[in-house]
Amino acid sequence: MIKYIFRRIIAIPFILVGLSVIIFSFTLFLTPSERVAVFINSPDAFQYVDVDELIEQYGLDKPFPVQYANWAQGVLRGELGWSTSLRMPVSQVLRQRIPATIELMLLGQIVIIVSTVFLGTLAAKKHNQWVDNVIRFGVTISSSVPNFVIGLFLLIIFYVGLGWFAPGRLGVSAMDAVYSEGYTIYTGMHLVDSILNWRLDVFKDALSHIILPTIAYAAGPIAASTRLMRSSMLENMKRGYADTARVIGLREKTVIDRHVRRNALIPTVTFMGLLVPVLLGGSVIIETVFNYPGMGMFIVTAAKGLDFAAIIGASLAVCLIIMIANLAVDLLYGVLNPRLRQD
Amino acid sequence: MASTTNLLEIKDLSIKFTTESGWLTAVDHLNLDIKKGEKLGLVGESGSGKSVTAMTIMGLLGKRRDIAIQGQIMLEGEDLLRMKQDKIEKIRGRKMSMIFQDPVESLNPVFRIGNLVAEAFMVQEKTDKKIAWERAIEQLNKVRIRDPKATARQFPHELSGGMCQRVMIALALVANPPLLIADEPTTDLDVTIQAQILALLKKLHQDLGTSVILITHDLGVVCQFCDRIAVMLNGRIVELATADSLFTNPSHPYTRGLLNSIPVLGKKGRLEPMPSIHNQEARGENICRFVHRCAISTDRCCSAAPGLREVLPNHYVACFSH
Amino acid sequence: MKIIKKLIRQPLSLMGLLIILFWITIAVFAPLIAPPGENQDPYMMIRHSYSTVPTAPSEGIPFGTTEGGYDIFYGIVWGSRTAMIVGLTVVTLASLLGVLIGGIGAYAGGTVDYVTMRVVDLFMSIPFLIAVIVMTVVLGKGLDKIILALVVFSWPDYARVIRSEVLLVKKQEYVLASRLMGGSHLRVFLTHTLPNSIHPMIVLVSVNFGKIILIVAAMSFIGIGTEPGYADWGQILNFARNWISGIPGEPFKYWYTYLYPSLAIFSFVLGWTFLGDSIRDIMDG
Repeated sequence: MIKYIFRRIIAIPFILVGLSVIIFSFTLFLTPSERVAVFINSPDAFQYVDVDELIEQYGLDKPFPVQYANWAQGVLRGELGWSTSLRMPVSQVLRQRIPATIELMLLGQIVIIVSTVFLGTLAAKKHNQWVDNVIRFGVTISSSVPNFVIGLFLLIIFYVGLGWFAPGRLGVSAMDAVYSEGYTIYTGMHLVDSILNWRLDVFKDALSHIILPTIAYAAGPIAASTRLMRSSMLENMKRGYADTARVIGLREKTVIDRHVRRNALIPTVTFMGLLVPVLLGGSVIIETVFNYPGMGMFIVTAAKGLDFAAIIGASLAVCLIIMIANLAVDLLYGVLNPRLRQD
Repeated sequence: MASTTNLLEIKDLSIKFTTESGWLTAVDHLNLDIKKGEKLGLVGESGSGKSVTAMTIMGLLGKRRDIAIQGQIMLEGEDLLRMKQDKIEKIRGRKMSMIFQDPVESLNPVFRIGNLVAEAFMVQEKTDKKIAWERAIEQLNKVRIRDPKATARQFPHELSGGMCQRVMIALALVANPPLLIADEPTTDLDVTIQAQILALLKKLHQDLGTSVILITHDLGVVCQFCDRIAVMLNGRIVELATADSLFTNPSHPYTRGLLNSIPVLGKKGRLEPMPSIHNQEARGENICRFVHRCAISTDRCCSAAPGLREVLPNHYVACFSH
Repeated sequence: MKIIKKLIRQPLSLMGLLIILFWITIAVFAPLIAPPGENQDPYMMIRHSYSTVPTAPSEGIPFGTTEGGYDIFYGIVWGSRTAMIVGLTVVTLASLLGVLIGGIGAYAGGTVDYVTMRVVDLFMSIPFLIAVIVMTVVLGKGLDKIILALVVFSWPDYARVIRSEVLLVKKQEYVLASRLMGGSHLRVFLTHTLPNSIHPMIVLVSVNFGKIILIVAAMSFIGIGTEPGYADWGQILNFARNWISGIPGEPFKYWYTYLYPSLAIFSFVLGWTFLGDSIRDIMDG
């Protein structure tokens, strides 16, 4: 097990280097003067200095490896360039936006896992009965509705029609509470922080804002993973160990809930790992639809404003999040599957 | 050893499956009793219906639309086929249990051995976790696992096939059920391990008085183990006799064929291969099960199915030549 | 041919086929269904006005106009062409590229295979949508740039499938025999590997077709895609975003601005999902 984790951790720097090379090579499509923003970290440099001078200063006319090395050094110091669209250092934007996206993603993953386990088990228990057919049909339909269409219609129904939930991340009064004195920001995730500060009003407000994006975010993945969970459950119900559990006197419910489900979860967890990039990609859409200020919306704003430093920085952050999430999934996988734990 | 009261009575059992080409009769009007404390062998080639019968007794085929089951299976006077699902679930493990062919596949790969056995104790004896774990280790000791404490902490994939089968036996016998069905329990194991597992089953049978139905395709295995043997072919019993009688007076041509294909030490002459199932299998209502492969078949064998008749005391054969 | 028969027999896949057929018909006959004006690029939506406020469906404008006076009906009809063209181009190019890279890697084996697979892993660990957005932004707006970006980031899927097929086929005896008889790698690849891997490829292509259209629509929807006015479902939906809240007292006043493009995207993707799922079920079972 230790060896297994160690191998995963060892691989991380290599993957990071590979990804950052891919990401940085995008800047080759840009002119040196466009590329400058990726290297600059304060606005003063923009205003008083000649661009040509900057190009020379940052070595932007040098070969690619040299430029990459310069840039990578800055990245390691936490310097990701100047965001021209938001007028602040990219690293500072990311510090605000990453927790927002992670909050959405974590909540989304929780909703996905819980619904998948529930729906997948239910469909398998009621195999070929009407419940199963309803779930299967619903799964096919919801995997075909684009998340932005879901998001749009959720807004139309619950915001425009019923007026229950609003877009954005926090209401005005909750926002005041968050930035008031005596409210400590621990994680940047409002749902967590409000509990830690014991401000249930903020919690309620944050929850009412995050509910719709979470549903829009999770609908597609729930469909895909429920389908996987269902077939994995059905397959495992036919396995020899399930019959063993039956013949020694366990009730069918116990056989499914304890024995079959533990095994059926293994491929589902692998799938959850593959979902992380999909979810982060989805955050671009969902955050834009719901006006939720996270990484996804930042990327869109930056892309529209041709804010290259922001795009490069945000992509790098996204990749880092994915790798950490993958590591977490690998560990979970090791816990679930004892065969992996051996060395 | 065996008493005279019947523990299990299979009456007129028929099992049919739907296939793409219509209904397939897997078991055809089967009648079979097993007495308390008896060791019964159920011998036949694959497709003879022996495993399907076992699965039906255990209720593992469930209520599926593509399977039709008729007849009665009486266990201690109660009909298993007309029992509600939750009643069957209560009886399993307590009154009857089963072990399977592939021992590694039969143990849940994500549970430690000890937890698997302890869970059975928690269900059957309603004990708490700690006591159940201790009982589990005792139980592993009973099936002669050398270091039960260490084994209890291992996962199935860390054990050999023979060890897994011992664990499986331990699991099946947690509640000392009067009936144990062993479906090809030694087929996947090495010959030396086979002998050990059979010896273990024999010992447990002596200690606990469990009735055992041993299902196998291997006559050599049943002759070591069983009191009485039923030979099955294409869903029907063609010969039923005590082990001694069957080996000294094999009366059905199929049984004789089976015995002639086993090498015997000291006996000279060629082994006679059994004719294999070439064309269609004989599964109709009015046809002998062995007719296509039989050397002594007559026209009569194609127009009527021979019933079981007692040719010697307690020795029944389904063949017109007797 | 057996597959097609089976597809027609199942209600879901039949529905999928019919939906796709419907959109193909619309795309092919677009000039007849919604004739473009003279001297006008047919892929640019007809504008009835420059008004920012949408107008309700009326005579000659069956689906109404959206923000900017664009004709929604015209956009949806010609948008089907855009979807078909983008889908076909991307799927064809990406599968060719994937087959080439994956095939070469698997045949060469050893280090070449290892390196290609690590590259595939790298590409697959970047969120597809974000990667495509970044690349499109860097390259500049326009449909051709989006197509390029989509191809660059969707070939690894195909490479992976082809690789596993090649590895499978490579070990088979008839392939060895064919190699021993002097068949070249290329010949073995064309006559043995490709025909054998065609089934998983079909599944992947049918699933990916819908996915690609989704991504294009999503990009246009968030405003990083085709140029303004281009006949593209995502863009029509983007125009509708400011109007979903209607006006006080009449929250659903501008329903036509979002309902029609949503239905178009939904049905198109649904068609491909039904088809892809059914093909997969048939191949698996």
